[in-house]
Amino acid sequence: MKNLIHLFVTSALTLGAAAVMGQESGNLNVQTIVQKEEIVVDIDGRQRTQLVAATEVVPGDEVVYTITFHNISDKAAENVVVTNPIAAELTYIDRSAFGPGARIEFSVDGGRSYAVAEQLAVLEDDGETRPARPEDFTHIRWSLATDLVAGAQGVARFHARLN
Amino acid sequence: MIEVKRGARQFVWVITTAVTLLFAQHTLAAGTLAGVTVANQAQVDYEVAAVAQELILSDPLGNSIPGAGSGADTTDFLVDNRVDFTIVEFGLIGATSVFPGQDDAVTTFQLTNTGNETQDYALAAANLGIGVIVNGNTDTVDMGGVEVYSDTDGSLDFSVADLTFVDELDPDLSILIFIVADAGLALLDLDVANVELTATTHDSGTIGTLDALTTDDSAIPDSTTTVEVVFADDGLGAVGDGIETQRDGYIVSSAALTITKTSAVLSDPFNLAVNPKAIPGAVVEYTITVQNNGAVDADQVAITDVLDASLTILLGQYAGEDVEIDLGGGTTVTTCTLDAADADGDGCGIAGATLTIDPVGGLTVGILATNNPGVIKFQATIN
Repeated sequence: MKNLIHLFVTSALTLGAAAVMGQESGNLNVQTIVQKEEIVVDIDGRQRTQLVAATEVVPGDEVVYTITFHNISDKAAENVVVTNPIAAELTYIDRSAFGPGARIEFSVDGGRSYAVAEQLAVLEDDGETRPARPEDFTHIRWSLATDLVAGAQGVARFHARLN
Repeated sequence: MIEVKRGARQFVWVITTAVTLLFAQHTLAAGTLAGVTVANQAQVDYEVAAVAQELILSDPLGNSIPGAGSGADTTDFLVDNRVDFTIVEFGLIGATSVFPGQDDAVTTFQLTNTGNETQDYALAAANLGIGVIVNGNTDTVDMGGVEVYSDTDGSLDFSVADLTFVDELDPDLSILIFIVADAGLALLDLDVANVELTATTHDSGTIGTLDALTTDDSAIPDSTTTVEVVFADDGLGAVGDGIETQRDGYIVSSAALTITKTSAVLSDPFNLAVNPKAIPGAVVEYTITVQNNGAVDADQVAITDVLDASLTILLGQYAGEDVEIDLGGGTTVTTCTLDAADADGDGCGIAGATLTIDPVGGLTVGILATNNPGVIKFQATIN
């Protein structure tokens, strides 16, 4: 629950535009960008997908979140864990989470617990348990297996569809 | 296995929404509402030299200030307006039955906003050309006074207060559309008049007013701060134009009357009733038979007949009155009087040589055996 509490507080402050300036930097610089997958036809008539800015997004469209984390310090960062909530308006696209050298786990309980996708189950209202589906996922977590050495950069990415 | 009750996610979101999102969450078939900002923020936890460090939140431009209060922004996108809607025939599928002279004959459609933004729709209705086939019926005639209305008052029936456009239809909601038209008196049984409804997407905003035409924004630069319009509709209209059409028709159901008149000599002064001949002084009975071969009852059937100058009407031959009206082969037998200019007001009268048989209350020759055919009898003597 700790993570969630952090997020709530952050959001409240963000909405209030109370940016705190001039604080000392941590060891990492973290960036999230959102893009949209678009099918284009190249000059040879071949279809391919490309990522474009997520400026025009309507229900049914697929968006791609890319999180980059850059070690800007002179010390290695250990046990790096990236946590990302999936917005209620979005449905995670199965097997789209990607992160080199990271163990990828999901939560179906708002970030309280995590497991790899195949081990997650949900309890239906009728008392039956079924395997978790992508639309059940509330959070994604990437845990780096190795240290992020000084100057190194890591990336985590997932796709989601706008409901 | 980690087991979690499915309601848990929803619970968490109730809390989160209150804090982070200003928009109500709806589960809509039409999808997330246009104008909603979808926010995302990643969090990174890590250690340095085995000492846990303060978390760092992501920012669209990158953030390295630790802590929940770093001021890092969420990575957002704005949900745009996916214009989409459907029109289907509603209620009776197939042609709507009308009779000649019927005003305000209604054929009903259902328009559903399957987009993610409240919209207005302009409506238009028109006759289709001769020969156009709808629901297997080939168009032969046009309807008059074709108009179109939306079921503004939600009564599920056409009413005069209904607007001629669709006003402020929310995503996932439907409204009935009525094409209202008049069937001319000259239309014949089984005539077909096919019509077409066209709905064009307009913006929403002002209640009671058809707002501006919605335009596709594919030609203008995208923006993360404004809601763009994407036409996603299809159907009978061109794909992606914000326009949909649907067709339906009227079929005329009319009475088709045939009328025959026969005569028989009942008696003459010499042979009396045995093999009577048509000689002066003979009594002749005229029988007018009205047969309805159509699909609907014929109401207010009136018969006019002019006696030949060689005939004189013979009164009092049917239960003391002058004309017998027999519906359905004896099912209903009535009589009336051929008095001068219908002085008694029973609907039957004679003026000069002209007989009028138009009983008060109306003579109905129907399509069932109980009132079909109608047989009218009167007698005359040969001068």
